[in-house]
Amino acid sequence: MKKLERKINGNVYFLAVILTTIFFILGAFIGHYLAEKKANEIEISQKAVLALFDLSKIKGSPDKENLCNLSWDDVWKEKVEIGEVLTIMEARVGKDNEVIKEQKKIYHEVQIKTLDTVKRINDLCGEDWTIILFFYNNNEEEREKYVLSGIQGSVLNTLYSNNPEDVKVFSFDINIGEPLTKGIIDEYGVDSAPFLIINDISYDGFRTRDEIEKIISG
Amino acid sequence: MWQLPPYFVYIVFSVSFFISFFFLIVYAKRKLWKKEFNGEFKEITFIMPAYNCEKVLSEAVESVKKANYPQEKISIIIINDGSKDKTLQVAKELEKKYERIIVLDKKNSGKADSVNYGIKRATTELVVLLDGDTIIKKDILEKAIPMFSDESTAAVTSRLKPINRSRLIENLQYVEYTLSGLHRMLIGELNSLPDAPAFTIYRREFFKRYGYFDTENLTEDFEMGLRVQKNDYNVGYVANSCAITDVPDTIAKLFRQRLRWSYGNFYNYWKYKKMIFNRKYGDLGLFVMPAGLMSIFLMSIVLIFGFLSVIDWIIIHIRMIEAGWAPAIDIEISHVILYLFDLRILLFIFAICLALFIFFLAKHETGEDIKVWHYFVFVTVYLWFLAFAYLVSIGFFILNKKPKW
Repeated sequence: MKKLERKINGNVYFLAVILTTIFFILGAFIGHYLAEKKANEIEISQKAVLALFDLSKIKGSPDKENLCNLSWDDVWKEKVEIGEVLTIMEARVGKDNEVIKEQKKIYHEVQIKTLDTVKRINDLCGEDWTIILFFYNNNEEEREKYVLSGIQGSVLNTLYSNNPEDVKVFSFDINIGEPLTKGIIDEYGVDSAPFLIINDISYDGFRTRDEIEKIISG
Repeated sequence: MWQLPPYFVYIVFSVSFFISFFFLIVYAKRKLWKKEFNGEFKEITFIMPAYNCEKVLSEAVESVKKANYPQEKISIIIINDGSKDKTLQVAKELEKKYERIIVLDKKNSGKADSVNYGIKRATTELVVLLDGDTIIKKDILEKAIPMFSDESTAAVTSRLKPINRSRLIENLQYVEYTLSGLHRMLIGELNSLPDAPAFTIYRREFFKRYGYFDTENLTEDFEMGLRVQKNDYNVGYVANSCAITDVPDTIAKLFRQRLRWSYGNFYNYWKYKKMIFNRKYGDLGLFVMPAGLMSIFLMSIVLIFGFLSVIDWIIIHIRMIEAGWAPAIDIEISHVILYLFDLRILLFIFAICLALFIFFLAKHETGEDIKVWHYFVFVTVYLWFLAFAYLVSIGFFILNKKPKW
């Protein structure tokens, strides 16, 4: 018997490292490219929504006729769609991603202006929408608040799905640091999450669907 | 609550891709490395330990008698290891029926001791260890024996395949053995095969120099393969033939078997720990052994945290339902595409493509007809069952308790 002459196939290791790195870079590139592309689309949609609100002001002062003639359903659906897309993107790409943070800031502006418009439509156009402001905590390190916020969001989704014509939900990340959102937080004294403001009345802490429906009907 | 660091998933993907690409590159290079063997047909002795295998022993012996190999060069020693059924009677009938068969009878003392008993009574240069419940294909000897023309080869083993494939559990082992066939072929290309199960041919001289099978070891065949490698000899591999062996036909039997094998693997890795990351042992020390351990480690971590995450998910969804959430299946195609923004999802898709490629490669190389849906169940369920067996065996290993048969 003769001893085996061993060798180390260094070039195989090298090629395997290169291929692994290529796959990671390719994945990161594809993900980043698609996220950027989608973010650009969302930005266009959001700016279109914002422009629509500004247009309603430009045609004279914001009056009943302009507001009540606004193509509201499409605007609302666009806002909801943008919100859903941003939620998914934030979960997939990470809330610290600069592209996401930028779009969220614009989205909060969209929400504030939509909220303002919804309130005025409610007052001036004979609508009787239930307006819910939902403040959530997106910080995973504050585990219980993060989980409760997630559950609260799901409950509100179900509430909205069952009553899309009557309920309008606006969701705000209390950690966003965006000035307009901070303004609302200060205005309503929001100091924790989840936090609900239902038809201008504050409700601190988590609420089940039954509780929210009782508040709305009562 | 039970959260792994976010970067952990990237570690799992990196290691998995690296190991897969490593072996795929070895596969691509194998024709460059191909060796030609042109040895003579040496005299060989089959050592067949037999314990409670009355139903398959005849078939095993007859497969040897039908082998494409000069029968005058084959001797068979059947060692009845204190069987409680009619194994001894069957063996004696075979002894009468055929020439060059000897039957030895002894008290039950385990397979390793029975094999040693047989090897010590053999006189040929090569001994073939064949379990009493394993059948060989006709061409296996004519492909395996010439490999001993390489003087550094102390042992040659081959691919295995289950005898029965009537139940799902047997078909899943069929998938496992087929993939293992490809895997071991590629490790063999690196001269780094560390194990030598059910059908293996040894140079008898190796036992004289380095000792016989360890009777205290649960996986004495794995230990012997490592011993061959540690002493700087090679374990050759026949990829284009196979031995056909009995496999567990119930989940409980399979679990007990895998518990023993897993425990045995840890025990032997510990025994030969100085080989791990040791450049002296070439790709075996630097890659094959560490990769094997790393795979077990990562799968165990993923299994534990995956299980805890599922529990966490269930608890949260119960809370959601109690709070008034109504599950709704409302999938928008445009939203599905958003998931591709996530590097983890993209890497997962790459991993699935890689797994499918390996599936077709294994089918092509082995010629075995494994079904895609069996492979799907293998990857999604069976592998995690094996990982669970490994986890449990770690517990046994730490507590220094051997799993029972």
